[in-house]
Formats: sequence, C-alpha cells, structure tokens
Amino acid sequence: MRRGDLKFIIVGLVPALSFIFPFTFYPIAYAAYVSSLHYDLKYPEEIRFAGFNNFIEVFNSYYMADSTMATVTFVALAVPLVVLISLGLALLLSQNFRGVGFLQWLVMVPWAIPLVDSGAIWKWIFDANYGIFNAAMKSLGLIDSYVPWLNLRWPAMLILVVAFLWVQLPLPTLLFLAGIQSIPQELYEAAMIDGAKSWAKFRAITLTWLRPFMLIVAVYVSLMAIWTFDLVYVITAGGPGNFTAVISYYTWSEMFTFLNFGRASALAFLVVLVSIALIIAYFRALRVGRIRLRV
Amino acid sequence: MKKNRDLRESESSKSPDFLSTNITRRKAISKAGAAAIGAVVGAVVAGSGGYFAGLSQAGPARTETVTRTVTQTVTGTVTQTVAGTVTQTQPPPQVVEVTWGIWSWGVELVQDNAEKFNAWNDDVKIKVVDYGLDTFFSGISAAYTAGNPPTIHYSTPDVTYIYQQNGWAIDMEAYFPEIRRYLDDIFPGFRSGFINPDTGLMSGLAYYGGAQPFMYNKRHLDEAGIGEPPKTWEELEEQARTIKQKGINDDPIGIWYGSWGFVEVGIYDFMLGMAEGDKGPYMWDEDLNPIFNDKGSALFRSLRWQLDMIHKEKLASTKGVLYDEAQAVNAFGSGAHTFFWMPDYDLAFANTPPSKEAGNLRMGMNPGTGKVSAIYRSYLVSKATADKGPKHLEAAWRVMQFVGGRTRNGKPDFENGEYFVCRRLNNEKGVGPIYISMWEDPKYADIRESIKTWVDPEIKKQVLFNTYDFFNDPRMTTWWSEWWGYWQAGVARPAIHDLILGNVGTSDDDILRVLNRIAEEWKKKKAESKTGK
Repeated sequence: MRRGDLKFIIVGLVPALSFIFPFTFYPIAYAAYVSSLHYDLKYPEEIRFAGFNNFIEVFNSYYMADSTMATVTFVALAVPLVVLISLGLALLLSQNFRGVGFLQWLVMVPWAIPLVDSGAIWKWIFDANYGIFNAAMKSLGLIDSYVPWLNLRWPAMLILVVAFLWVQLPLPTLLFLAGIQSIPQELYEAAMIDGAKSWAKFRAITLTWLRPFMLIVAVYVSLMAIWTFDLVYVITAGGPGNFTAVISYYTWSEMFTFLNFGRASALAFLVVLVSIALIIAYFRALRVGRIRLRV
Repeated sequence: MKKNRDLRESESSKSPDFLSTNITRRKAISKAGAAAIGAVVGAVVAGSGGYFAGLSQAGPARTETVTRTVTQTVTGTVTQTVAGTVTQTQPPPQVVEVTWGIWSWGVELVQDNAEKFNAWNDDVKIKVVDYGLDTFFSGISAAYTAGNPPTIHYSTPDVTYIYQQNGWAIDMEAYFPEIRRYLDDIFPGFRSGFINPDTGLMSGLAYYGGAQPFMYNKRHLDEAGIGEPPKTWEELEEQARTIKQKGINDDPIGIWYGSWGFVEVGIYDFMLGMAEGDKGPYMWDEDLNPIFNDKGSALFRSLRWQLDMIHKEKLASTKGVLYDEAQAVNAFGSGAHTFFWMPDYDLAFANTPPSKEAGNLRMGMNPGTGKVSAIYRSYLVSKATADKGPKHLEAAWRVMQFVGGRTRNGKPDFENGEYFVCRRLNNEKGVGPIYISMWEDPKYADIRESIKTWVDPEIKKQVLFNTYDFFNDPRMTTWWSEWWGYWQAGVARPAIHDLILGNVGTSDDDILRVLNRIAEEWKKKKAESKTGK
C-alpha cells in the first residue's frame, strides 16, 4: 500500500469514525466499565468497584435460565424464517410479471412503521376482546368464544415471531433482491448450455452467488432477534408469566425498572459477547473469509 | 429522627433573616402609605421609609414596590425625592425560577397552570420540565444523581421513600410548619402517604388522590333482575352466576392484573375487601418476614378466590392479565364485564360517550370490608433547592401551595384561598381531589357537579373515606426500598400471572408452592438489604 493510499483511507474513515467512536465504541466501553461497578441508581452514594459480582449476580438471577430459553427459542424460530421467507420473496420479486413494482413497494411498507406502532398493531389484532383475528376465527366457526391468545405460552411466542417477521422482512428482501439482480445472466446461459435443470441452476449459481448476502442477512437478523425489545415490551410485556421475557427485556428491566445499572450493563455486555461469537460462527459456517460483493 | 433534628436546627439558624424581610416590607409600605396621605409630612416619611427600606431590604423586588406606590400617589416633589433615593441604592428585580418536574400526562393543563402562576407572580417563575411517563422515575433519579434535580416534582408513593432515604427530597414541614394545617383536610386513608416515616414530618402536598374502587354495570344487573350491587363476596359470586346463566354476560367478573403496572388492582383490592379481623390484609409481620405464604393469609385467600372464579366457576377469565390501562377502560366501557376494579378516574372515560356503556356504569363500595386501595401522587421539593437558600425555598413553597394547596391569584392564602390547580384537575380531567373540604364546602360545588355525568359524587366521597394506604403500611408494601421493582415487577408479578393463567396448577398446593418461591426470593433480597426495610 502506498503512503498516499493510507492517508486517503484515514481521511475517508474520519467522518464515519467520528460518529462510531462516541456513539458506539465509547458506550460499549463505558458499559464494560459500569458492569464492574456496584451501581444502583437508587443508592448513588454507594457506587463502588464490584469486580465480576454483577456478572455472577446476573448468572445466578431468578430470570437467567428462563430468559435464556426464551431468547434462544425466539431466535431459533425467527431467524431461519426471516432468511427463508425474505429469500423467497426476493426470488418472486426478481421475476418479470405484471404488478411486480407494486409488490416491491408493498413489501417495504412495514419498514416505514415504527417498531412500537407495529407492536401495537399486532397486539390489537390478537386482542382478547376485539381482536380481528378472534373475529375471523369465530366467524369461520373455528372458535366458540374469543380466546386470549397472548395469555397462552406458545401462541404468544408465535405472535411475537410473526410480528418480528413482518417488521424485519423488508431489508433482507431488499438485500437478496439486489444480490439476485447482480448475478450475471451469462452464468445461467452457460448452465443452460450444459443442460442444468432449474434446481441445479438455483443451487449452483443463485445460492452460491448469494452466500455473502446470506451472511449479512443472517448476522443482521440474528442481532435484531437477540436484541428485540420493543415488540416484546408492547405485545406481551414478557408474558404470559415470563415465557417471552427475552434477555433484552431484562436488560431494560434491570436498567429502568430496578435501576441497577451495574447488572444491566453486565447483562448487556454478555449479550454483546454472545453476538460477536455468533457473528464469528456465521462467518465460519458460511466459509466467507471476507465479504466481497463486487462482480 | 436525627435527620429531622438536623433540618430543624438548620432552619432555626436561617429563619431570622428569612422572617425579618417580611416585617421590613410591611413597615416600608405602611410608611409609604402615610406619605401619600399627608403631603408635607409624607415627603419626609416616605423618603425616610424608602431610605430605611433600601438599607434593610433583602429582596430588591420589595423596594421597587415602594417606589411605584409613592410615585403614583404623591406629589411631584415627593416623587422626585423618593425616586431619587431608591433608584440609586436598589438593584433590578430578581426572579427566582422554579423548575416543576412532571410526567407526560395532562401537559397542556400543567403548562397553562404554570402560565397563570407566572402571570400572577413577578418574582417567581415556573418552568415545566417533562420527564416522560415510563421514564419518570429513572429520569428524576438520574437528575438527582447528576446534582440537577427539579425544584419541585411529582412523586408516587412507592418511590417517595427512596427520595427521602437518599436525602434527595426534603420534608417541607421542617421549613414551613404551617404545612401541617393541610393534613387534617386530607382523607384519613391517605394521610400516612404525606408523612416521612423516618422523621414524622410532612413531606409535601397532594397532586391528586383517588382509589381503585369496585364498579359494576347497572344495565347488566337490571336485566338480571338484581336490585342492589353485592355487599359480600358471596353475593358477588351469586350475582355473577345469575348474570352468566341468563346470558347477559359471559365473563361477568373482570379482574385486571395489568402487566404494565397496577398489579395491586387484582391483588390488593381483593385482599383489602376479604380481610378478616386482626389478621388484616398483611403480607409481612412486624419484622418484615413473609406471612403471605400461608393458607390463612389474605393473599392466599384472595388468590384462591380468583382461581376458583376463573378456572372452576368460569365466572371470570384470564383476559385481565393482558389489559393495559386503555384496554381496561375499553373492556369495562364496552360491557365486556359486569364487575370491575380500576382507578376511579378511568370511569370518567368508560362511562361517557363514545363508550358503549356510557351512563350504565356505577361506582360502588368494595364487597366485604368496603376498603379499597388508595392511589395518590404528591409533590416533593428537592434538597438542592433548600441548599440554594431561603429565597429559593420560599419560592418552592409558594409553587407547592399553588399546585397542591390554597391560593388566591397565585399567592398563598390558606384561610380564604382555593385549591386552584386541584379544582382544575378534577373539573377538566376527572382526577379527584384528596382534600375533604373540596367535597364538603359549598364553594366547591362545581367539583361534585362536574363529575355527576359519570359518577355519583356521594359514593365517590364514601369510597375516598374507605381507602387504605397500603403503600405506606410496611406490613403490606415493602418494595419501596432496595428491591423496589425487582421483587414486585420482576419476581412476584410473573409468578402470580403464571398461577392465574393456570400454567403451574391451581390447587392449594400449587398456590403455596408459588408463594413459597416468591417468599424465598424475598428472604434472599432481605438478607442483602442494607436498610432492612
């Protein structure tokens, strides 16, 4: 690398880093620092160094096992569904047919709605007294009376997953669509000459080409799923019981309900570590050493 | 009590200056008045009055008053003399800013009240600071920690103790003993909420007070041929069964647990209503050891009854676990339940158009003992205000009396003033006053008149006389300490919801198992507690 190149890179990075450092790296570093303190906002005079006590307390807390299970369940259900459905949608939207432009626009709509509003919409759809879902089920004769779906464990979890799907589908769909449209047509023509069938073309060309996109989507959706808070807060508030109380919900609770900043930071920091581990695992699983989107 | 003594000692050392300024002002004004009456003598008296005032005044605004009075009333000769004397010695008027920390509710009304106060007062100005709704407690706590708290702010009884224990908020009675006069005017069931349990002093005045009373749908009762609302829990069950059997309502007993708060609606009102003699509705003994995990406890009886109504008798459902406040109002207002318990002010929305059941809903006395949980909010003044000096403290006290006490044109007047802001809150928002006189004094007839469209004022008054301040009874509420939020919202609520939903069984043993788990977590947190409270 030439000296001039290095200078250009540094100058080019300055605008981005001037935002990333104060608003990303510094908060993470500060969270790491606070996680080593006994920091209860209700008793600010007693702030003191606590070593790893917050981490130990979090691990031993009454909610750790349940919230880990809730998070794993939610992520395991939501991430594959988002990846598969957005890929399917992208394949559909890459076809030439009448109305595809309108469909492309329609898919983007949930993106324009704030998360809390999306949560409120889904909560009302499944409302126990006036929800449209109950009305539809009853009019079809599938239920005798309105059911409080959000009071039932698995239905509540599935409603969260559906709401998450609805909110998160647009960006992955857009990414996959961009990926599909960047595939050179010559590859398909060559495969056709070689006698490849549709499935073989999809597997050997489309999926292979989309692998880096899949990595980006998988990482993005996983992180979104792990950190999902708004939908949980609005739709189930962690219930029924604490069946859908994912870790991010307790991070919020520790911070804003219990006002224990030390434990909240420890919990947040743990999730950051898990997220990093997950990203590394994705890179290895998809055998993408470095993302190159150039043709 | 040491804290209390310290405050009193601190005050006694400050009070002479603080009080003497008022006397000087009166003297100055009276001398100026004399000057206006006698032309020749007045010039001398007013001049000397202005001179002495200039020497001894602590508050410059008062000197300005003297100047203005004389200038407007006496002759030109006198004017020149007095004005010349005063303006040479007095700095410009100084305005004290009072920051009023509120949560995001009724903000327009708050702003309007602040503007009215500011128009009536030249020397004190209110600046409203909105700390959000869900973020209010954390926001105020953060402001205290950062050393920049508001002068005066709302407080809920579950966290007032935290502000007091940290020395963040002061007891206003330590500085202004006359605040005690308000205590007798507060309904008995709320009074303990305005007394600091450590000092025995009044901390502040009331924002509002109400209850979470029993309510019923009179149309449903009439259709079922039931003349009177239930007086006992057995009667309630019987009436609910009749209503269900006649097909009037499938889910007559509406129990609101509230995942987003007010879990006490579903728990405490039943405990209070079902309390038996000296056993009371208590959760802890005098030493704060759990007694709720016992078959004879009020909590056990309350849960047993609820589970029977939901899972055995099918007279109630689990829908209430999902309700937030708006949904609770909508559910009762749409006729989804015949019997309900929710904050009294919510009836104003459920029982008026466009609510489907507008006009059919009634407030009643809680079955059994008649006791219901008190809900109230208070005003606290920050210690930082006291540290700034008497001028700021007096300004805070003036504002506190305006927002929670009696004033006339924005000036304190306990004897002849009116509860200006409390009156507006009731008449414009349905948020009821906590002061007895506002329900009984004919000059507040509009209070009763304004709520007649949605509640019988006499019943509401009776309900307010039957409130129980469970927030400040340590045997019932001890979450206002280190484990505030943690135990109640984090541990107890999800466990009780699981029980109510039938996820962990509904037998007596199942109830006890859940209560024992909650009790164990309580003991663990108590052992870690530094205050033991």
